[in-house]
Amino acid sequence: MLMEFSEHIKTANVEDVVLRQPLHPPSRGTLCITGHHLLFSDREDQSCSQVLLLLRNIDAVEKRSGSTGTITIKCKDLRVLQIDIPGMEQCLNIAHSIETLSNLESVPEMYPFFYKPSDQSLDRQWGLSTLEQFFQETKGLASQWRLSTVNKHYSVCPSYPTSVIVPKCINDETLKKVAKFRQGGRFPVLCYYHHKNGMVIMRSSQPLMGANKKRCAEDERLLEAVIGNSDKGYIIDTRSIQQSQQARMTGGGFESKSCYSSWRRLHRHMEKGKSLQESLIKLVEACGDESHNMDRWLSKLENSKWLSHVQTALSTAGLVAECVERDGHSVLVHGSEGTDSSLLISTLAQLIMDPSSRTLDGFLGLLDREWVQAGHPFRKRCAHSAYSHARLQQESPVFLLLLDCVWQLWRQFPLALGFSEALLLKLATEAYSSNYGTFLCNTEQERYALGIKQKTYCLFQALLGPMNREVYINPLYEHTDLAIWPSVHPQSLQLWRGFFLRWTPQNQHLEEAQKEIKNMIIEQTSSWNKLENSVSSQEKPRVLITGGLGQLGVGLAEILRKQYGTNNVILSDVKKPPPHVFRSGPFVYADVLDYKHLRELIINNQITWLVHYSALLSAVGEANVALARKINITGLHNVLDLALENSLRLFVPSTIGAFGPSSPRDPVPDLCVQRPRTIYGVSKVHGELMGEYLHHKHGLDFRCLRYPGVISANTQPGGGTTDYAVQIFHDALSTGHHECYLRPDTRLPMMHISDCHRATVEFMEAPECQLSLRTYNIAAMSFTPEEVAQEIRKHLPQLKITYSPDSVRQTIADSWPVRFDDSNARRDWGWAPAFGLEELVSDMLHTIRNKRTNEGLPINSL
Amino acid sequence: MASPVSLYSSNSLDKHISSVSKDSLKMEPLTDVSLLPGEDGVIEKEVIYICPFNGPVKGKVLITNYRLYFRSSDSDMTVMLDVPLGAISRVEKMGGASSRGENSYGLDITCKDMRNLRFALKQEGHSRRDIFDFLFRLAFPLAHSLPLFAYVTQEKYEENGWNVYKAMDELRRQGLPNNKWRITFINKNYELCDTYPTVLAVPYKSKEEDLRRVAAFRSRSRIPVLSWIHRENQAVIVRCSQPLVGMSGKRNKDDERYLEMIREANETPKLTIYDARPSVNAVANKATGGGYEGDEYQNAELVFLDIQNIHVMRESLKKLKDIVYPNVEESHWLSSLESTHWLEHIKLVLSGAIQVADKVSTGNSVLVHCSDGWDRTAQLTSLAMLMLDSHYRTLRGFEVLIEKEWISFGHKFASRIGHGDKNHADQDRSPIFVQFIDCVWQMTKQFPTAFEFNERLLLTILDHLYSCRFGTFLYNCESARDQHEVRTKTVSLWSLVNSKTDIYLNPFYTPEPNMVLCPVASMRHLELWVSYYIRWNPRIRQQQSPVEQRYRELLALRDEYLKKLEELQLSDSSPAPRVPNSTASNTPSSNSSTPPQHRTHLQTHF
Repeated sequence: MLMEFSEHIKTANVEDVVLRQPLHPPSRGTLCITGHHLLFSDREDQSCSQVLLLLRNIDAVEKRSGSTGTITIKCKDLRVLQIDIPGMEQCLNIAHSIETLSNLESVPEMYPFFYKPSDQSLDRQWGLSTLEQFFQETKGLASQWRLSTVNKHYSVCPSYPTSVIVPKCINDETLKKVAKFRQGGRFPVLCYYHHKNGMVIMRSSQPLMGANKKRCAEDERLLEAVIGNSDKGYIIDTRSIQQSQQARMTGGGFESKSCYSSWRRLHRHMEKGKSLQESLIKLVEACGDESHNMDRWLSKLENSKWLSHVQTALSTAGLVAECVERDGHSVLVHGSEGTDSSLLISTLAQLIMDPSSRTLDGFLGLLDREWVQAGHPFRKRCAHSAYSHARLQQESPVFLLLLDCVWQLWRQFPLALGFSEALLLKLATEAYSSNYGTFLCNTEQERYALGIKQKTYCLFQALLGPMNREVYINPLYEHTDLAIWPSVHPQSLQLWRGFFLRWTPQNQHLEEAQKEIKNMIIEQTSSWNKLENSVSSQEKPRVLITGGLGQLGVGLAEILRKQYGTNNVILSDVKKPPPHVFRSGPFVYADVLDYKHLRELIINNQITWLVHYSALLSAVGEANVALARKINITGLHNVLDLALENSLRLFVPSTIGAFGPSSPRDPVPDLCVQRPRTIYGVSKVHGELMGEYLHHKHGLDFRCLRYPGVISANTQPGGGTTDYAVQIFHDALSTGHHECYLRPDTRLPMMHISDCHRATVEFMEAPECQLSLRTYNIAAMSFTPEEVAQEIRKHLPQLKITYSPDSVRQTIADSWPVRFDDSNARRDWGWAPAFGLEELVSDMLHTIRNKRTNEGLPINSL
Repeated sequence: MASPVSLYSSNSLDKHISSVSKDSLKMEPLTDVSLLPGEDGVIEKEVIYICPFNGPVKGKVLITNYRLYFRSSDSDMTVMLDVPLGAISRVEKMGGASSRGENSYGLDITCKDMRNLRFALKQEGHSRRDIFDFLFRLAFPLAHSLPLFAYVTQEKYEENGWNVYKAMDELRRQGLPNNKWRITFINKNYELCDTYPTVLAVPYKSKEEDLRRVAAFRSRSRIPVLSWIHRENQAVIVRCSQPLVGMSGKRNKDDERYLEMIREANETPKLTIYDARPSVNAVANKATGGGYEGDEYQNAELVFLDIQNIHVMRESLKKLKDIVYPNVEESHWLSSLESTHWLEHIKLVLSGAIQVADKVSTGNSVLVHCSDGWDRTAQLTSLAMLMLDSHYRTLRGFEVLIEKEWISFGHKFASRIGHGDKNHADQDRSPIFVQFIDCVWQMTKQFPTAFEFNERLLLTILDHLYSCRFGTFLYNCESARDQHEVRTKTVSLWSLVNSKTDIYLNPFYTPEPNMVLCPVASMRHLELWVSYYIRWNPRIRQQQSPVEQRYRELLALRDEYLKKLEELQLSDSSPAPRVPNSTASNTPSSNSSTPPQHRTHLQTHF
């Protein structure tokens, strides 16, 4: 390999060379040329500065002879360097080498195949997300759409990736036929799904209608399937009407109204190919004009037409976004090949509408999907930039135009995009010459054939690395769900000075000032963050617990008091508290049915959190339905009203009892049919619904956990269906015999009380933004009486258990779920139980044994 | 089924796509009109405002002795106008009692601040007569022997802005007097020069008779006096008017000697004379008795800076207004902008100032003049001083700069702006000061951390340049201001600003005391000041620096947190702590303009 390069290098080293580069004083040193780089090292200076330039970055070389030779190097990143070389021959040799090596055509010889960054390894994921992942992650997509692998051998469309997203009802055979009717096989595929209304953006190439107006029934059916239940869709054709009609002469065409009656076509003439390249050349020429006569700058800028291309792109993308977001219709975008303007428009439209594409990760993912995987021919388009003297072939700065448009968006919405200008500049450079393999080829097929993903590194992954991330994020980014509608008046658009005047001292200065500002912001943000944390850690809630003398209240109060101070947690109930409770902290009488008194309590004590434990449980409730209705429903309404009125954070526990026989039982998800058969269950469902209603309507900070059966050693259960699981331990240690009121195989979800308290406290402390639901299942374990008995026998082998099922409780238990699905709680606020069955049993036995010993009660241990 | 409501479609192909958008209708924040102390409403009337952006809007107009206030009555589209009468340059009747067509009868108002207003009234019963008469009287009080509003207002502020600038204090700040420069009170009764201030700094060696003799040779007696001295190298900026050379090429030994004294003060090898004018204009001025310094001035070099006169600038801005109001030029925006030459004039003024600053910072004294030395000269000296002296880049320093170089040295604000004067076609009017503020804005864009003040200050200054609410910009010179007791009978604009500085401060300001700013005056780096010149157009996205605002919010929140933290720590020891509710309802907010929901909003993202 190296031999091949050395063939082109006649002079590898030249001493005494003078380098003139923008923003630096001229310096003298040694010039080296290697297979991929131009290396200049400055010997004079102690610090020994070096300039390393990728040969691929060189767009044009101009030599001027004299006593010493001078080479002017014009780079694709618009930098212009000048090198004075003593000796004409050396100069010509160097110039020749640069010219040849910078234009090498063979991809496997390019630098990305040789580049080995020290901080990355090749087995990292290449690219950001596959279409499969995109399909899975896009919620709501699967009902009408499917992932097709019809292109898995790149046989249907050579420029598409192996997987594409198409309407569910269109099978692969149909797709193959549609592909034959579309230029280059680029049949319509989904590129964006708009969550808000289910509308989509599709893209494709032009239909091959031809002069004799061919039709393709499958193509028509596919597009009809996209329309679905909607009344129509829009086709945004990126050519003028005349162009699309002329395209018929060369076999192309457009979707005629008569064949595609549900679609309305809108034409937007977008320049591409050669004229776009020429526009860039004119602009760069004007920017580089060093002559003092700058009078005509604005005219030159206008004549380059670059800004009017920016305007057209942004306004066409705006139109697409309007169709989808405001008007509620799906859109198909295409021009002729569908690899340039179509991608430009669909990308910009997504940025305008879709907040998830505006973060750093989201934006790079979008580029990966819509440009790299979608088959923008980077290699052809970015072979040369604005300075090259080579005859133009298929060069066209479509990607640069995209970046410019994104910069305009960024300028108009400096808080809405999660990345920095530096990222756009980086991408603009990397697209033309890079250490990474990302932009090397034209299609996924080529990348696959050359083993790009195995042999080179991925730029996007590198940009997201921890060191880079800091450079490329926007510290002031603020998520907004709203669309960002750009103003496209020429007065609102500006020359992207950061790119086009990048190498002027003034821009350099401005860039430094911007950097300084960015640092100030970062500093401020982090100090602000610290402050916020220390405030929120010191800002203690004032808690009122109703029904505080039940199974859970005292224990919860104890934990909360430790955390927030004894006086900040007030227990209340209608009963007289036992002396140790009375001594442990504030206790007040409170009847949840006495609205006025409860209100006084809340106001006088500046309550901010309310834990509403007051309720009649399942078995007791069935015995006194009228009272259960009063306490569980009327009492809850009082509490809800007071919480809303006083902006309290309100916790109401719910239960497994909130499910009924028609709910899925194993496991039961957070959201499902809830038709409980007990008054307890009905009142809890009512509570869940009322709380969530007030949350959505009035912003009440309502929080609800569905507790499983709670098992505790120190407190007596309060008349529920899972009480046996506490009693069995007491019996095991006293009589050695437990008579169970449930059948041996009755499986129910259970939890140790300390897990229950911890869940409650953690959930109450979770920031609002983390909660995607207001009611969560929490789970720890599920067991049957037989299983718990087995586990106890490991400690007490003599335990005897008999079963005499009680019809009321057995019926209730049979209507309840056997297992909870608590994955949402785990994901949203990090719920994780500490006790499983084994830990539970040994802890219970240990605690009850100690208790009995302390109370002088006999212990049956044999 | 509705068609897309499009902002992006101007193409005739898509007539089904209409072109109104709700987003674009917002004009100004909606507030009920609150009158200033001393402001009185005189007439209220139902009118139709012919809004160039939204079409005719029904509403009510209120005319007071200070403003014209309009508010639409249509509840789903709020349009509000709040125009100080001082901003009005012309009021005309449009149509007659027999005019046909909808909304053809009414008033046509031309403003000085880049907009025009049209109101239609009912044709019956001469309904516009009273409103026209009131407007005409109150907008042009001088023509009706009425006082300017600045003499009527009863506003009170914590700070007295008239104390911002005291000539002696400013000279002392610069280290004057010293052994080369002395302070003279020769003009204390405006006897030497009626358009100069009373306190002047002149070469130490010059005698009072010298000054009188030099005054005789300088247009309107505006003799060369010191504006600024470089602390280290002692190079100075001296300003004056043109010498009265005339057709015959008169010489004046005293003037030549006086310039030599300026040169000698820090032994500048050659005194550079910057004549702001194009050389042809300077030559032409000889015909009216003026001219420029010729070869007889030894040890001096003359440089012409090619800046056009007030008439050219006026026409240029007029052309700019034509392409931005009411409709913005779409198809050939850049070449149209170029043909106004506005940015080119900005470039020339800036590059002149850069040359001045460059000379001075390398140790050479300069003398700057144009014809009378109150327009282009003021632009050049003040901009150069802004580049050279970081003090002028602070909020108060900038106020001093304006007070000194513009107000005290007799920029003819009254003539250039035409305060309260009905003669809208007066050839003396010209946007010289606007152009200066534009140059400052260009500098703030190029040096975003170098200025303590922000764009809002510049906009406020320009608004009150016309409003006549403050005395600051009234009259042509100090002698006229003394005569009309401006300092005792009116309020200074700086009273308003300095009583509420936080909104005018640039949060990114990083003081760098000894830095000389060297802006680039290349067309490629100049921008049209869209948020001033096109600010009335709701469809152009206004860049009111969201980044700055957001950062300010962060700072305010930080303060709030600090305060809260303090409270918490104080209350921690008490047995029953008062814990502020997590919503802001019972927490005193340090910044009432930050709505409480902002906090939760922020919490989620950091």
